[in-house]
Amino acid sequence: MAPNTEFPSQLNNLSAASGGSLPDGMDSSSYSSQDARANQQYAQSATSPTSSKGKGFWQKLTLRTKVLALALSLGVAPVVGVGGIGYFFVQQRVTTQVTETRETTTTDIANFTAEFMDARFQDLRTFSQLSMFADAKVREATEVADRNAFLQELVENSPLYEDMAVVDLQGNPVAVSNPDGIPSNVSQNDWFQNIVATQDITWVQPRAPRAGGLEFALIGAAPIFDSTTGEMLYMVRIRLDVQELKQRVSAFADENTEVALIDANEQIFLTNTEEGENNPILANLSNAVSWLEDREVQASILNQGAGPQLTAYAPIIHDPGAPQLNWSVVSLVDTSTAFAASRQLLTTVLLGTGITALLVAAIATLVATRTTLPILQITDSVKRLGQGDFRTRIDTQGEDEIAQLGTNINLMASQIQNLLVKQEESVQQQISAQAQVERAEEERQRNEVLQRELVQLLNEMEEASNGNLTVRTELTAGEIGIIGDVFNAIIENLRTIVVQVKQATGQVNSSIDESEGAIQQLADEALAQMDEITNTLNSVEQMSTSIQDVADNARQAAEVAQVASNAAQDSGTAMDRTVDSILDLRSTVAETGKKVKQLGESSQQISQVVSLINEIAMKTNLLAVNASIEAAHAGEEGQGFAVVASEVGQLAEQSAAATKEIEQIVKNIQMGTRDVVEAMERGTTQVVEGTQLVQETKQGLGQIVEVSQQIDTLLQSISKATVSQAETSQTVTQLMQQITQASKRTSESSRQVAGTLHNTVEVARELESAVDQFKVKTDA
Amino acid sequence: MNASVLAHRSIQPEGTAGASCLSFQLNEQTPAIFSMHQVQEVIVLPAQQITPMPNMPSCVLGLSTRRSRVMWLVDLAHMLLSTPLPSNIRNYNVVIIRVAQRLQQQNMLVATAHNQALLGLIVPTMKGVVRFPPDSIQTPKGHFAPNLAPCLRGCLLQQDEMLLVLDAEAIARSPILQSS
Repeated sequence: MAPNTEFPSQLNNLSAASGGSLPDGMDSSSYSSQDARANQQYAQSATSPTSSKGKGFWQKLTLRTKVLALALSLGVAPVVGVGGIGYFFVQQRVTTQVTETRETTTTDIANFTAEFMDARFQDLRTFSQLSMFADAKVREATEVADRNAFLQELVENSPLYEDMAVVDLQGNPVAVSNPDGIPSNVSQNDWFQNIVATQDITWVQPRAPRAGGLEFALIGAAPIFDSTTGEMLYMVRIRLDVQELKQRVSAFADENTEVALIDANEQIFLTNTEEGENNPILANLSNAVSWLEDREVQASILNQGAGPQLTAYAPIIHDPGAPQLNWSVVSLVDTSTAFAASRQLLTTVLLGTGITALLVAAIATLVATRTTLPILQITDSVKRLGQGDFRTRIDTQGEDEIAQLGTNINLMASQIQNLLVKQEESVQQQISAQAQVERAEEERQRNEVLQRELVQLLNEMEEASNGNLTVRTELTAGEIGIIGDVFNAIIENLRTIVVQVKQATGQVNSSIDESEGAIQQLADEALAQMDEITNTLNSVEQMSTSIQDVADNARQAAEVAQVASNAAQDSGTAMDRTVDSILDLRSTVAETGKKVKQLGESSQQISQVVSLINEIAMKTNLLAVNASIEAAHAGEEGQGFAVVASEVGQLAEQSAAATKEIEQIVKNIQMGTRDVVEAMERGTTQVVEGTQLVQETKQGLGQIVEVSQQIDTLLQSISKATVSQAETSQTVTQLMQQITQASKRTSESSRQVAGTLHNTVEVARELESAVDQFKVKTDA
Repeated sequence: MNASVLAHRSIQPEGTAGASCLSFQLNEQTPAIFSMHQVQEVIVLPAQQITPMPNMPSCVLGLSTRRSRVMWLVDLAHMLLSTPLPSNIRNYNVVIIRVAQRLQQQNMLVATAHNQALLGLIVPTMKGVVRFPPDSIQTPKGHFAPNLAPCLRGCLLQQDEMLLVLDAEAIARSPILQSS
């Protein structure tokens, strides 16, 4: 920053502004636009011939830009530098730590696998000393099925073993846990031949899965020696469950980590993930690095096309007493997972540095703006003073040099303003003194003209006082002209009023004439009305008489109806008696019927007696016949007896004939009684019908009584109504008389009104003559 | 009934002379008489006092007792004219005939006592006792039913009707009454 070069350029700006090259509206601009214009101005001055080109780029920048650039460069650069260096060192350290951790984890897995396999080695040793096979006595005591069951139990109790078998020295199985788990002869298998050669426990390197299998086979075998003779008798073979080993190794490995076990033949036989075998790093491990030959713990970032992965290697080293299988462990982690912490650190550092830089930049901008603000304000104010606006003042705060500069500029502006005000006041005093002299002369001339015009006006208006309303003044300019105009207006109004009064009196006269005729007519009509009302009175009296007649007739009708009602009631009583006698008749008939029935029953009894007599007659006849037979048998002595018997028989026959006649008579009687009974029943029915008819008649009579009573009531109400009608008609008569009197009074009143109207006509004539004195039209 | 009374009276004048006979109706149209000597008795017998017997001809109605004597009862119209009585009759008119003892070995049906055999003949209607001279009996003329002819003694013309004179012995002897 070089202040001695800054200010001359500002002065150049001011001189250019006073030269009038500034655009209008400069004083209303905000500070930011002020700033922009200052830049523009600066560019103009830079192109002017007075400024040299040697001032360069730095001098072209505004004061605010320069201050900002300086503040930013001092604030932000150290923060960014320190952040970058710190990140570099920390990342180095983190990478080293992660690599070491991978190596340690891989070594742990290697150690675990070694211990696992050593434990299985110990198991094999235990199996080779099983008494069931090693001890001759036990061996002879057990059956093949027992051995198989024993091995099966062992396999089932331990999840580690998949299959277990014992074979003899010819390779034929003698005991199996699973009959399908082993072929019929194993003498060609490598473990069998190993044991024949070494007479010791052997492990076979993991064998690739046979056709159809999924897993590698981990097979170990051990010779079984007779416990007494020490002779090798059998071999025990176990097959490990690779799944179990895989699970245990997987438990060791972290998430997102691939772990692979490699055997001595550099073949991958176990991975903890399904796709682990296909990893190109694992497939090409022996080509990429020489770790498998070195058998040292190693770690490095390898990339074989499927992304960089942090790869760690550890050899599996068994106990010195156990066979060395030369297996290795390789673990792989994606670098993105492994170095996640390092990336987080980078993000944090970048974010922190960014935020700090932004904060510093914001503070620097604020400080620079506040510092340059007063200088820019002063520049703007001085520019306006130069344009002639002397009311401009600078808002000064504080006591620094910039504030003092502002105060002095304010003082200068106010002194120039005072000088201008004093000059204006002296000019106005001179102008007012000249104006007073001119005004006095004008007033004198005006008075003279006024007096002349007034005299003329009075002359012209003289005739108006005599009633001539047609006169008019001559209109002139000036005050008198205005008065004349007012006079003209007054006289014109007066003339209009007088004309209206004349018309009104004429109208009053004519209307009073019309009214007189109408009132006369009214009086005549009132008299006619009186006559008509008298006629009406007569009619009303006639109506009253006829109403009285109606009332008399109604009373007579009521009496007739009463008589009819009484007659109907008498008839009702007679009907009741008729009904009673009919009912008596009915009971008499019923009694007669009973008697006739009894008669019928008696005749039936007679017929029974008759049949009895008939029977007796028949028996008598029979007896007579028998008597005749006996008499015939008696011969001559029986002749007399036979005659008697014959006579008895004749009597019997006669009595039989008489009974027949009686039967016939009784039958006739019964038929007669039956007819009588039927006739009686018909009579009873007719009596019932007669009773009903009489009762209906009685009801009809009752209705007649009711109707005649209703008629009576109605007639009585009619006679009441006629009485009230008579009263009403009398009232109407009185009202009519009152109306007659009222119309008489109307007639008199209308005569009085006619008299009054005559007076009114005279008054109106007087008014007319009075108005005629005014002259409202010119004589022409 | 009046007619029957009159008939009785018309017979009466000549009744004193001649043999007496028992008159009855064999059916509605056929009057018949028995000689009084062959008749033991006439009775009215209730239907329930007749005991029906199996394995007998259809005209034999059964057995009954009369005054400590057993007798067979025969429907006479059924036997002679093959016109049986209606089955709803409550009281039967029975003419008991008697025949001589000597006929016993010929007809097992006839009960015997005091050298006399009894047989009950059921007739529809009993008429009474008539008398007529013995020489007025004529030999039967015309055609009669085959069962009737052997039992016929003759016929008697009386006014406008013909009386059949039946032989009681012939009836009792009739092979029709033989038990099957």
